Amino acid sequence: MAEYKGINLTANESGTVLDPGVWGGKVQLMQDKATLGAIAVDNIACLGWLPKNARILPNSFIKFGAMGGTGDGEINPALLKIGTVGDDDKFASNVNAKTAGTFQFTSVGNSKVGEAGPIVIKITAAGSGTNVPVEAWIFYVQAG
Amino acid sequence: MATYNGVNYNKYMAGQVLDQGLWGGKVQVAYDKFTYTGSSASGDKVYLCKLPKNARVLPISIVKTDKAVTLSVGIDGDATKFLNSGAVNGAVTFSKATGDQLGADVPILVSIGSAASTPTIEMWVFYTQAG
Repeated sequence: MAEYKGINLTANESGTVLDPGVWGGKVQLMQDKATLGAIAVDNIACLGWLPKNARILPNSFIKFGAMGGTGDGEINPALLKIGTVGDDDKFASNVNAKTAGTFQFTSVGNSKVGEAGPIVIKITAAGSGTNVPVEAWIFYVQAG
Repeated sequence: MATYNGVNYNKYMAGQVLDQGLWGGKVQVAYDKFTYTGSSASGDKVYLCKLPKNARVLPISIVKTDKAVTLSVGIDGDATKFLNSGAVNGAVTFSKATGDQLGADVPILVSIGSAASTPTIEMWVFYTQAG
């Protein structure tokens, strides 16, 4: 049995002034939505705009409608990537969007996005859906 | 058929000025992380973040591990204040957080209940502050 302290608690107790992005920063919200007229490969939806020093929080999420699939019985589901302009699968790849669902950003660490711009949803496998809504709810803090 | 009002909605409708910690308060977040260099052990205590005494910890707060670890989340004196002991492997929210004020400046306590090899524990604590 032992006692340990986190890296930021340790820094705080040693007198280090911590970046508000990790220590008491105000949570901000970026919300945006779009409708994808067709689910074709390389179609993209650009949602919102984040500053490059944004740290996306793990309770952020993207909702999407049913995008369907291709083939008999739509055996090949529509797939998508979630990322940024410069890194189109920064957050996820091969997200199955055959049926309506939600992608949660639980895999993020606490690093900065690193580039200013929108969240990009890119179709990587086609689907039969039309006029499919996608919606981003991105919670973030900003750091120096 | 009946209509019921929330406790705070009732107060608002009665003209009371509500504590910002409960009604339109700004949400803040504190983040911390600890990585074991060896194995965790039952009974270990890991302290993360440090919150002001008037903080109200929100149930959307998250503890995350990179491998299965049995743990609870709370504060000294109430080790399961925010999350009962259970296996965590990934992200889990503070299901027991009620939004009551902490009452003192305190770190968050993660009480370890199982051995795991070099686990990393991350935490995002969402909170509001009240008067």
